[in-house]
Amino acid sequence: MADDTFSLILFSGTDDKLHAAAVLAVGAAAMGRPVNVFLQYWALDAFRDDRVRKDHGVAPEAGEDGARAVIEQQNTTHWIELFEQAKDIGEVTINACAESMELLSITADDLHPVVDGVWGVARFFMEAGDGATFI
Amino acid sequence: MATAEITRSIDARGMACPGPLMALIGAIRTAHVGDVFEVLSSDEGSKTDIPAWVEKAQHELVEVVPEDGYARFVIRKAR
Amino acid sequence: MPAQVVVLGGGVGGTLVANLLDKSLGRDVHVTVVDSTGMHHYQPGYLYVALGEAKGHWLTREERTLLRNHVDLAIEEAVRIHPDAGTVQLRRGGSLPWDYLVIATGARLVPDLIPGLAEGSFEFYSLPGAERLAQALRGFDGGSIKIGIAGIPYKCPPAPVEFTMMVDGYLRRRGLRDRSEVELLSPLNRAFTIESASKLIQPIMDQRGIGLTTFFNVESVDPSAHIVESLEGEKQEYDLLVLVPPHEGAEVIKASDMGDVSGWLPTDRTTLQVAGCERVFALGDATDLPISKSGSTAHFEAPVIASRIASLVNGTAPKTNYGGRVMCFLETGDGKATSLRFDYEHPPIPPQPNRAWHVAKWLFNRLYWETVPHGRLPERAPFTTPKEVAS
Repeated sequence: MADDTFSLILFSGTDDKLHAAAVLAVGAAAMGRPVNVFLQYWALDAFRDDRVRKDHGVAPEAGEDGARAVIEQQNTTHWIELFEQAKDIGEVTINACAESMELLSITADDLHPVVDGVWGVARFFMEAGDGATFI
Repeated sequence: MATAEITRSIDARGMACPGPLMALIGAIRTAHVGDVFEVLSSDEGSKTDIPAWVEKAQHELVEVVPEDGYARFVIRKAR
Repeated sequence: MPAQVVVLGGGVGGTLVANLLDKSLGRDVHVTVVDSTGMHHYQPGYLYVALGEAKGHWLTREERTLLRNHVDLAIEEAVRIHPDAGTVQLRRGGSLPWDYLVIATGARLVPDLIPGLAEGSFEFYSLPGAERLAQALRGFDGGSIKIGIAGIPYKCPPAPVEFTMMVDGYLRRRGLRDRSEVELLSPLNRAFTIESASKLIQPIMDQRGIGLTTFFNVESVDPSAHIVESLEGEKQEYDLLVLVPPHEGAEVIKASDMGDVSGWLPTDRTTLQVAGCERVFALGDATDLPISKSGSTAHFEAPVIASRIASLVNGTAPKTNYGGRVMCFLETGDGKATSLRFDYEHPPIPPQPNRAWHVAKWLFNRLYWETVPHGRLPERAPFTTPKEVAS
């Protein structure tokens, strides 16, 4: 991908972090930067088609008020919709980490259609821009 | 029918916004009564939009000529 | 001897074309931007000022800070253009010679063309106007708000529709919506000129109880009776009237006998040359092209003009044409927006209004100063035409 590619590695699978990641992806796409999202571990698990809309909880720091705010945010626009919408805005690709798939016994068919493919870590580094953001 | 002498031609082909009808309205607003405008539009909707406004605003739709990939509308400012 | 290029107007188009020329031609060119105030305004922000969502100071910066070091800035008023002699006469005396001229003088508001407009209505097409409207809204305690158009062409066709949708939200937040009426007076037979976008917006307007009057082109306002009248012969009462004022090209155009009756320059739709003048280009709102008077139009035209002038300077064949590309956001007032991306070959296919496009517009507004005038936005998405119609 191009030099100004925005590479985002998603590890955490809580709704607040996934929403934050989705907004970052939208923003980068809006600025014309190709976006490369790489799903690992619990983020990958959250992208299972049958689990996407389930409650993934929030980070411990959220507290009761924070958790409520996040749930309200989800009801307005769910993070999965933001990722889908980001693809209309710009060049956004979302790939599942092959090693995480193996660890969690997930197959490609289990994943939400917004996921474009499966990459090994090596492939990710080839496609990543100058550094990546880890959430 | 004799072709009216065109005061001004507006080529709005391929121009989605503000669109051929808006361009016509703008031209007619600043024109003299009797001025004749030719609007070229590739938008299918113009075939209903332009005659509808011309009638509502009480101007004269002189002719509508289908061309290759677009239509030519000739309108006279009547009042 | 470097080629002398004069750019009239330091708005988005003028600033960008000046920077691009300087970047590509370096010592082979000397660029001077002539601007009467030396201040650059981000006009899309006025909508937010009018609705009390932004303050004006964020929207203005000194033009000098946006231009590359070797680009000169003359804070002067151009009063007459002499295409044959290749000069521009300045208000305070003296004139600037040019080998190539870019006219990016924009569009100005001419409220006096409509009787009663200045006294009886509000507008958000200028910063003072937007501030005055914000103040009127703060004092508004219920009643009818009507939004209409008093002249065509005008800058940013989505803006009156955006204001209509957003003022509905404004009234709800203040608990006034139940005792208010919001009505869009459209010059056409639908809410918005782009039919596919109108089809997305009209159901939302219906849902929110926002009224739509069609084929209403404002002809006059009666400030004491609170009545606005259309050239189609209809009248409507209002409590608060928001109108897009008539627009014309800059006065220097008429003074130079170069434009049409409203001061718009006759311009070639692909080369952007002014009719009859090989070395004069028109950019952005100043042209007579029936395309969008939008910042994005100027943004996409600027590289074409810079490239064409560079070809002329170098004596090579021109390589680029303007393909009619435009990209506009359209806010629908509920934290959502859609986008309109099109060119001469591809009509727009606006997506259902969604949160992502609202975030994109929000971000674009905030990053404008660091990116657009300097030419730092890449050519790609979101400014490309929809993937589905890409050839």
